[in-house]
Amino acid sequence: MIYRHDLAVFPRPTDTPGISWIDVSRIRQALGRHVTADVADLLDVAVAVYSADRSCQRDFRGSSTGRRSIAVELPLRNPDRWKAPGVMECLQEYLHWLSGDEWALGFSKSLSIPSEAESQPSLFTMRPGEPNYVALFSGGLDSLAGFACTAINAPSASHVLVSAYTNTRLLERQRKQIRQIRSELERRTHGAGASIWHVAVGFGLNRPDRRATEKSQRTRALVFLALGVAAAIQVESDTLRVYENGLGALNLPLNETQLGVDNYRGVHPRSLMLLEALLPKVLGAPVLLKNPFLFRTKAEMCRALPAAGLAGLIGDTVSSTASRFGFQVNRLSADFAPLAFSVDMRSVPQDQAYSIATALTGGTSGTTIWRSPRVSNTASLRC
Amino acid sequence: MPELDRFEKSFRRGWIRPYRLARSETASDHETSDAIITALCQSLRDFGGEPGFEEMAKILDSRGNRPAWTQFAAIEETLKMYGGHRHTEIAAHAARSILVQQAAGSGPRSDQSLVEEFATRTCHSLLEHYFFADARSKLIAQGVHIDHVAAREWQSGAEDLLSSRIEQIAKQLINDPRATALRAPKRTAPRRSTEDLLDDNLLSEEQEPAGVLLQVGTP
Repeated sequence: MIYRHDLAVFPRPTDTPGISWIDVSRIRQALGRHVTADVADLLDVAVAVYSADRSCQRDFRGSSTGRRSIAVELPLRNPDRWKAPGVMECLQEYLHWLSGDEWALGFSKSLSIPSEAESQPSLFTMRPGEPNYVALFSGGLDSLAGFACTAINAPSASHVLVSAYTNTRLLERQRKQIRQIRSELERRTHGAGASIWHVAVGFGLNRPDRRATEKSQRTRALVFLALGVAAAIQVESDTLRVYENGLGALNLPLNETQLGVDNYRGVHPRSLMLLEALLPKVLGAPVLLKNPFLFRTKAEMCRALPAAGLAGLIGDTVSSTASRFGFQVNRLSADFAPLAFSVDMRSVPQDQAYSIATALTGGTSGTTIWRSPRVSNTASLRC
Repeated sequence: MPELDRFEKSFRRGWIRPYRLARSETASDHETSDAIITALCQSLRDFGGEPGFEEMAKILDSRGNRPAWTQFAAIEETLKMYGGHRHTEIAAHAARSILVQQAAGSGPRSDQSLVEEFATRTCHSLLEHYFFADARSKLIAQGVHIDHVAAREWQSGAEDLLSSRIEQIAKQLINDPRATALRAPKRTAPRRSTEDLLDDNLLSEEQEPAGVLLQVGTP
């Protein structure tokens, strides 16, 4: 069965809210530059793919691994760039790896007028000083620890932290962390330290009929990365950093019941590599997607937090998905921080991490739940 | 990052019986192994055998004629062709592991051809996927095994009992990848008589809640 999504009849996600939306004006507001047509197209494609992904539910019954065939029709400003030879293959390969599905995308010329975020230059141009580091900032422990590591190594750099949010509760947590990071850095450097630029962009689906949506959201990473790339281009940086520990980035199956995209691959090195190969073709300029912590464990990353004076923020970090539960576990690990960070996660066998996860979630037989991998990561720190 | 990762919450159809027997104090290892073999054959029959098995066997067999990376790419293509069949994914995993092993310089067992090794490994991977991976954790949670070391030992013993029958199933699979005529090899434990079954203690570990209630009610 092929799921078809003809988005030509709806407003583009970057314009007014249609079936999906993304608030691009935030990028212009935060960085003081209008968004280029190529960047707006990338964001439209990302949100359209995310919207299609969430609209059709996977079926795991019988022998199926939940693979779907999805066709999307989308109007763009420069469809020729996306129709150029090699682009579709790159995009399909990336999306197939990310979501496990078969994708067919068609692009047509959009007749809509450019939105304000694209057309109206900002009155005041603002630009972070050099050197600047553009990074994704989810509000999770990895992004905080990654930022801490970078801030220690480059105390006077500018940091553009890009957050995407789907609810205001998450936005508040991200803002709270940014406020505390700013005040801590100012306190330590007497106002002469790093400057923090926070770009928080909302996106989501409009579901007036409250239809059930697909839970797995495997293509959500594309929206996050596209936003990060957009911010990097706005500040003329050629690199977007993703802060994720190596184990989390690779996210190997915890046991053999998991197949294919049962495991999230959003920041897997191959995902970053495939998207990196696509970007110059659709944007006209390369943007490197770098995870500086691919060969570090979470514990190794977290060691930078006390050094940067940010250990107190651990309790405020959230797990990007199981927010309430992840928050509790992160709080718990904050209490154990001095003990926890002295332990290397690599010393915890996979089977044991799985047991800890099951035990912590209160699970006995048959109650292994979706959230357990996140818990196992953090819980392992406490072993 | 591990985000909304998916786990199977319960055993698939046909695999609950082997788990109950593995948990039971009264069932013998042979009885459990018989149930595992029956469940494996049932899963293979119900889900159309091993779609893509022949293609992948050909890819493995062509190892001398083409570079390793083209074999990996060909396996990917086969996976795409069969559109997300659980068994194809598992067979692809087995095929890739054989390719990696070959690249490291080790070949198949001397008494097995490459295709036989592929089929055998696929069957073992199916067992791991459908049964052992989940059973280990659940049996520890149930207190049947004290830790993962003990659970692995139990699995290793069970696999020893299964190995010859797995090879028989693998041979059948080579001849009939759709598993239309696949039959489970002969049982090793005699079927229990009705009289024997009637003698079972009804307040055994499978009737725990009733047992607990009785204890609570006894002064």
